[in-house]
Amino acid sequence: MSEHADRNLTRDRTAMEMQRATEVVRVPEEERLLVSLGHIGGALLSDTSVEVILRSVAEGTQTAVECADIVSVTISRGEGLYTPVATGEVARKLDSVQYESKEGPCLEALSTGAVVNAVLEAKKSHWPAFVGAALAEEIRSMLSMPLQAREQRIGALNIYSRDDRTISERDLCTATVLARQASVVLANALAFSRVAGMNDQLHEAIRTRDMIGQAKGILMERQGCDPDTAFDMLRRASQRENRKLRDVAADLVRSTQHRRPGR
Amino acid sequence: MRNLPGPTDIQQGPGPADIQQGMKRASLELIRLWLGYYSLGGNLAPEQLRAYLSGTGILSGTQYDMLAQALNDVFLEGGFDHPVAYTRE
Repeated sequence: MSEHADRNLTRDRTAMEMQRATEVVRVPEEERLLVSLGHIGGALLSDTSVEVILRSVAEGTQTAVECADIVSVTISRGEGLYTPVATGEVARKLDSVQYESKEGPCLEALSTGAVVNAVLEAKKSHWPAFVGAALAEEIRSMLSMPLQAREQRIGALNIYSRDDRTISERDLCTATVLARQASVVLANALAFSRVAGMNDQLHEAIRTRDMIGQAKGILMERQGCDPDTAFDMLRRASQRENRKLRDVAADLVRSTQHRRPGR
Repeated sequence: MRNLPGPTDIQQGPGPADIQQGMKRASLELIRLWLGYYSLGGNLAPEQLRAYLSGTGILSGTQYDMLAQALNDVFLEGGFDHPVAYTRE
């Protein structure tokens, strides 16, 4: 083998070793992301509340995104914003500053639907109240990613960092994967929670309907009237006493039960 | 003595527009109105209620009064005394 070919072989080996070394370095990050996604998936599959699922998203993000010092999730409900979970009190506090001052990366991500990746020192004049509060807590950069379900913006994943550089492309990619996962989890969880809530309300409505049916039966027996007339009597009593009809009916059923002999 | 209307009486006076106005004022979704109406003994399915509110179909006086009562029960929580009119006083 010539000296030239030998040098080329050595260079190729060196390149291969460097590539292997790089792969060794990259594995833990990929593992961290996989572990985080696994935890989020596990929370989704088990019988847990929305808050527990969001906590797994926030903790998973803090684990997988290298620059993340503290993570929170903002949820938009009705006219208001709130923070159901945060991995540290500082994030909760800085989220509140943004909601109250109506400025900051989280609000911008929610209003524009775009990712906001900001070095805070450079944004002093743009978000004066928020940047002042963040720097006082030694938070120097922030990544806020909108969480979307179909066309609706339902919240934001907020990553607070003490690093004073723009959050890296790699961290941005990892956070994007997690934010997408979080959007799916959140949209499903909110839909499920709504259905479960409706189910509880339907059961309550069935119980009330039954109780009002009993009250109407009592009136029909006492007054010798038909069901519509019995309802009308309850309705008039509700209006006269300025009380809900179901409360009037419940009193009637209770008083009748108490009057029965041996009870 | 005046005969009280029976189950087949056709509702006169207030109509779907009054219920819609009450829903708007109370910020009440149709499904929440239906739950309240159903709990009072209402017989319409949610889709039938939607059709009634859009101007299709008629209701007996009692079924209408159940809708009005469902709304008034919501208003009572806010301290308002039965602002939605019934078919009869």
